[in-house]
Amino acid sequence: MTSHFQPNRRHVLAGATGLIGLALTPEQAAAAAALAIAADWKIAFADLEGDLAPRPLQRVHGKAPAGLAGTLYRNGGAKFRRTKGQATHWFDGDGLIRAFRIQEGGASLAARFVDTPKRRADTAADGVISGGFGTRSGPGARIASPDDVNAANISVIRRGDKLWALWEAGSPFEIDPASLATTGMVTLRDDLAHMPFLAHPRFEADGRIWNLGQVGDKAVIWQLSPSGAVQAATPIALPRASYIHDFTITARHIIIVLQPWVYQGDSPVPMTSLTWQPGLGSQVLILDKADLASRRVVELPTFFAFHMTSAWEAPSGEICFEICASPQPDFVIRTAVDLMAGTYTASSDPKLSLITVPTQGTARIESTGVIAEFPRTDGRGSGPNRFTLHATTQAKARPLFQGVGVYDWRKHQDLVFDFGPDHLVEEMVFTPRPGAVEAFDGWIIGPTINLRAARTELHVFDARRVDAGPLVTWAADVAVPAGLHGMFWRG
Amino acid sequence: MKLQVKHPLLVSAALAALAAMLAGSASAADLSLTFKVHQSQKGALMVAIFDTETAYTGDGQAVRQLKLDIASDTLAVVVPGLAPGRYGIKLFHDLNGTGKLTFNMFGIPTEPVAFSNNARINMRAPTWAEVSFELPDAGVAQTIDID
Repeated sequence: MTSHFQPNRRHVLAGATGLIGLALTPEQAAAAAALAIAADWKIAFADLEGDLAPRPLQRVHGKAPAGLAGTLYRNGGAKFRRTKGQATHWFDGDGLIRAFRIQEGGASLAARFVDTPKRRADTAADGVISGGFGTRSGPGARIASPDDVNAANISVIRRGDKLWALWEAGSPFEIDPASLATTGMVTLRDDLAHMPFLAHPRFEADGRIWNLGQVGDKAVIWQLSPSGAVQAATPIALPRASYIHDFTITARHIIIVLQPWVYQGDSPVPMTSLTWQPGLGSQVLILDKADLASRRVVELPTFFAFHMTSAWEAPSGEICFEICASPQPDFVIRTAVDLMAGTYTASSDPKLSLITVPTQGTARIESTGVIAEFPRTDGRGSGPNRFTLHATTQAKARPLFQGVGVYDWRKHQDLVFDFGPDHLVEEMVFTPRPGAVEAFDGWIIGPTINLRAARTELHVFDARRVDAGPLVTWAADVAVPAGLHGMFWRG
Repeated sequence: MKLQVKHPLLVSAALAALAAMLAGSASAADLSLTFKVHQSQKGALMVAIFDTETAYTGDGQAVRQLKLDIASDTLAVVVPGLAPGRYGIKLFHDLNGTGKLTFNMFGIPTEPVAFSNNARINMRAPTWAEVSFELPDAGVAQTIDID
């Protein structure tokens, strides 16, 4: 906690004391503050009723580093409730594209909802009739394909002069990067309409894109050109119908983690078709990029994970990658449901872990013990990641995180900046300093929601000195609901 | 996400000459159909008219099959010579000229489908109760939207 944030702490105590109107002991004040904080987190999961016109952000402290210019694009659900019904899972809100622009030392924010058939149908019905991953569809919905429940709400990528808002079980939506207006749904090829396309595509150094789509135990491996044209869409069979949110690649292989959270049965709500079967263990499916029919499956102990980092391969052929692993999927099953009902249920901590798959013998998963989600790496180079950026410090009595960390794999040390309980930390991203050669020579950029001040803030850190706190912080005049994933586009 | 929408909607391209066969029947009514095509204006509408739940639900024979080339965003056609009674219609927009409803590799239709009463697919094809309508002696009109 730097001095910049101490006034907030004092404000918390002063506010709590004022509320009660009595002199409090420090213990009473702390308890009152904790109660107040417990109520505050709901603004991070509230509804945004309309688009946000571009607005300047006010500088709170610090100075934007010279040479930093570009836009942080982020996505995430931001409209969950309507008069006649609501999303019953955090992952089912309408996608909102946020653009945080940093230019000439200043910053601005604009945000616009993705214009999906789901949002149109739900708006017309004034209910949430087009369900989703954990929300049941209602009467009157028209659901001819997964794209009719596509909320376009998980991530956003930029390719050339286009943004793609990504969901998981359906098509990307093309967005204009300047106005954030939706151009339309992307049909990658006529015969591939309405196919699943995950929100975590992986990129080759030359810009070519690998992605995965999944329906039960069937999957498709997408290969796209840097501009997003289909080069191949190859069907593959999965050894089991696991829930898949992310995957990774090495120079030669595609790596798909198959956890024992498995689709069974035919519920109209996909999440309720998933059964946690810890006795099965976890598996890693390794495909040869050059021959997708060539595969290997290795066994690991049971864990659950959403996210992993880029993978690498030793000269021996040994494959390594990092993963944020929890003992079970209790966040997605319980916490993400309850917080739509306005209550917080604690769930198990995801821990930054390293998976090693030797060419022969037993694969292993080793935990650093560091609480971590939203892992991001430098993105340049193909060897072991020296540093991993992540959200950390699970907040008490409310969902998600309050710190940002950088794990140093050489020193086995996690440098952390803890914003304190007033801030809900979202995914942060790394961007290199122009001309940088060294790993993690650059900046960490990302938002928090200042729950106390009820506003979204944007922070920039020196990536090598995250523990020193933000180099610059700007504040918006509005709290934008917590988002999921995005990327920084320089320029 | 598991969405399996099954459509026994395989309409052959050939137009049946049933109208001629039925021209002499004692009682016949006009079915006036209007189709509003909201998206792509290419290809044809492949329309199948059924007179029983069994035929509609299964792969039964349609009493009429129409192929309507799309020349504008609104198409109107009168189907003469149907016996008064209960009918249901399903159709698809043949974008790629195969004459068959096309599915992607995971079994999801890649071409728009639509039904009488503008009944909607909602994870499953609409039922006979949702699509069927009465054709009286005086005839009836149906307007169907194709998205």
